[in-house]
Amino acid sequence: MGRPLIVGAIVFALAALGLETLWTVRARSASLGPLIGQPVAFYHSVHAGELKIDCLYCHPKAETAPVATLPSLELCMTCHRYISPTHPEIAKGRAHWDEGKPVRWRRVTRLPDHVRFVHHMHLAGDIQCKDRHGDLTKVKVLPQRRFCMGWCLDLHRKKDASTDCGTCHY
Amino acid sequence: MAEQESKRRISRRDFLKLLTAGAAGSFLAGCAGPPGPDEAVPYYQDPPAGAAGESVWYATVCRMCPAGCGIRVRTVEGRAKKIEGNPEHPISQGRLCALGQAGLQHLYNPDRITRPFRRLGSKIQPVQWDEGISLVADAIRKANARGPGRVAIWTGPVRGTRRVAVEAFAQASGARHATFSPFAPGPERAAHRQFYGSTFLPTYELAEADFVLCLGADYLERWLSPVYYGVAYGKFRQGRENARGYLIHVSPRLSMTAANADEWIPVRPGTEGALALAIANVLLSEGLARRPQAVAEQALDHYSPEWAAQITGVPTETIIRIARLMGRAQHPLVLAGGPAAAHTNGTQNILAGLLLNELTGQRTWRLTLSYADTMLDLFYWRPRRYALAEAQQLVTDMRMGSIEVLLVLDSNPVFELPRSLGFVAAADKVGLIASLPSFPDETAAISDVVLPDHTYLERWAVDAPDPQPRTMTLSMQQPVTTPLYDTWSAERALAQTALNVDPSAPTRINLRDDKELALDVVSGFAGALLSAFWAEVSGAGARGFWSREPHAPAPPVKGCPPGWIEPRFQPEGGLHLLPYPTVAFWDGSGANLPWMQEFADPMTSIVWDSWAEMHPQTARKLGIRDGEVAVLSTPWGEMRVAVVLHEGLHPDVVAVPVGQGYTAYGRYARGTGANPLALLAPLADEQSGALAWAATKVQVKRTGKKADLVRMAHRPKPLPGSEVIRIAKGPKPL
Repeated sequence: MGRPLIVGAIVFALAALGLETLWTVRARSASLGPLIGQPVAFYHSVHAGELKIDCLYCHPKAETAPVATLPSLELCMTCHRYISPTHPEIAKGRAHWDEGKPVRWRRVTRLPDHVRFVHHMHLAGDIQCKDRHGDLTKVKVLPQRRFCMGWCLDLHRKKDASTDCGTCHY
Repeated sequence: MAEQESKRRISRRDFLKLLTAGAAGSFLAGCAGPPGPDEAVPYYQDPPAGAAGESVWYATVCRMCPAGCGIRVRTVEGRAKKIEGNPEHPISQGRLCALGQAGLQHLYNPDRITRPFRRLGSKIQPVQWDEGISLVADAIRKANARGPGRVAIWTGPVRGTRRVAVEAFAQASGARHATFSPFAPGPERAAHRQFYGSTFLPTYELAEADFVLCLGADYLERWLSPVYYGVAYGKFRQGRENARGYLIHVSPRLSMTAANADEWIPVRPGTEGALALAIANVLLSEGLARRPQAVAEQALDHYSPEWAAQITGVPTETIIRIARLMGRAQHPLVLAGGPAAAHTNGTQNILAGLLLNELTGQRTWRLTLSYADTMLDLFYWRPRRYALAEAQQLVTDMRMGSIEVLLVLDSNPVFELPRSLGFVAAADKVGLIASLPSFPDETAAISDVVLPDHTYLERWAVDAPDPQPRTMTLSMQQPVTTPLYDTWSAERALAQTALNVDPSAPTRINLRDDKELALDVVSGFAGALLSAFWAEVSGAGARGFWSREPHAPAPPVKGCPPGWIEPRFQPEGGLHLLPYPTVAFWDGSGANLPWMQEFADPMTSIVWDSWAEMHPQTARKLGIRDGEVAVLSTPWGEMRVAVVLHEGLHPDVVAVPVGQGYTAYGRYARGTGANPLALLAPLADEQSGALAWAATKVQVKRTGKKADLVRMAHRPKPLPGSEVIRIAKGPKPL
């Protein structure tokens, strides 16, 4: 191997490492919280990013109900009975399915108890999922997020939505 | 016995009627169990029609104060989100006070004790539950081996199934059960026992009255059942088309209730009974009494308005005017209690109020009698006296070293007991102190073993409110969420300890956990139809558990000893100290809730602090300015507190709210104000034995330092020329 090639490989490796670090730092700073471990490593970047599956396929209630809901294990297994069944992470999900137990995910978002957030009203108001949750097509592991009232109010003002206390606190 | 049986049959039939009505609730079925606080657990398989994100309401009972209001708690995905009054509950009737609303901060309080621990010197060592129980049980076994009477359990006002559990524990492990609560209505109870022979507190029909004379009873704040009387007060004032009730409040301090009255009559502390006797005298001498036979002839002749004017400081004309207003009213009512009962002559003051009710002839209130036997059977429900002597005796025994094991439940004696009793020094002589609190507090701080209790939103109980509302009421308390931490209900902890001490305990039947005890009571009523009844009273959407049968009317007068006893005060000289329970903190137990700390006091608008109210004249004499720090001292201690000038106060009185001054009750109650209970003299009401919490006198000294009080609506001086509120003469009553 010629010397230029070695130098090129090292430069490439360093650049890749730097980009990866930068990406992680950005992801962390945007998330306002730590990345947390889940019982099954589910990648939003694969499902929503590479495969371009619509958010509402797995979270259909967001369009019709106050909460978006997490998909049932049955919905996961609809595809993963056949797609990559031997992948180690999918095997973990499969094990839950065989035992008849749902996956107990760790929460990444939690609103205070005195706030009500109604998903379907926001979707009806043409708010995109990524406006609130960030662009998950590029995120491997979902980071924990905190939402502060000022952030909500900014969005309400921008959209000319009500800023009465009773709109969210009731 | 036959009569008792018949009562039992009636009550059971009555409860069975409930089975036909209402929707039966059910628990959400799931094979995974409810999610923990940091988990999100989706369905294993989607249900046919999902209800995720929808509110699920549970009916249960508020335990933030002793009133026992029925509440409904909105939960979403296993988390309690909002507490409201239960519209079907006969006490709360759909309403709830601010303290009840703040129950969520009780549940989610960041200072909760999350698991059992023991104290080794200055270190805290977490222990497993079995280990914690064994530590206590071993100590009890050793103490019992050395002789009887060496174990004690100290509780606040426990009742219902919790009372059953405590009594069963005491019996099984040979423990003495002592109770104390500074604001328990002991004198009110003793007066009713003497006057009507009734063990239970009555329900006053405030809503039906057209004239109310309040002798100290601050029913809009914390007297007996504030939500029930708050609703009744609304009806008394505005519930009828052509009548607006007229309210006169007699008390040394202008409380929120007094501020809502048409007239506030300031009296010398402890002389409310003298005023009532003089009013009775006028009613009799002017022929205005509807039932003059309620009192022996000439029995009240000594108590002339002139005599009372000397004692109470209320002008003779005012006394005569009140008597005439009362005599002319169609439905007059006297409510006596609160500060009027908090003296060495407390019971006598209340008796004078009862006598007035009887003379005016309106049987406008009822007593809990028809179900009393059944309830006594179920709960050993004979009300306790909460006598100061009981606490004093136990403290003395502790000091003498004859108590080796002390358990503490639903009480914080280090904070609540006057320092004059010397509880802390006596506790040093006790071999092992075990406490069962949900939060760290001053008593837990000196305990060797701490076995944390569930909060009321995480446990089962059947509650028997006292006083009862108009209808016979037992309330089902059920958990609205799974326990957040590694806590046990105190019922379970006590049962396990007693069974560990003696596996063949004779009271084994009642040594159960909270749910089993509640189920026992319910099965006593529902018999064979238990499962249907259980679905009716528990689970999501359930309505609760009570009868619609009204209580019996008041029985004939049993004994009527009118008389006047001079109140005693300690020490001689100084100003009267009036510590009072507040809307926000009740007896102080609400002080660890930030919403309640943020709750602006209705009279002074102060938040996050203590203060001492003082009449401007008195302050001028002492050279104290508004907002200045003063030192209040008694022979038993002193406190530094900001003085707030308040014209709504008798000039001889300095009033301090109770509830601040904690040192170990979590982050929100730390460093806020001072505790006036610590300064009190060890004086008790002579007839009931209850702590006379308004019988202490204090010396007040100025410091010249300015306090850092936060007043939400403070305007130090009226703006020149401003006339925000014009004082006008009101319409004549009645």
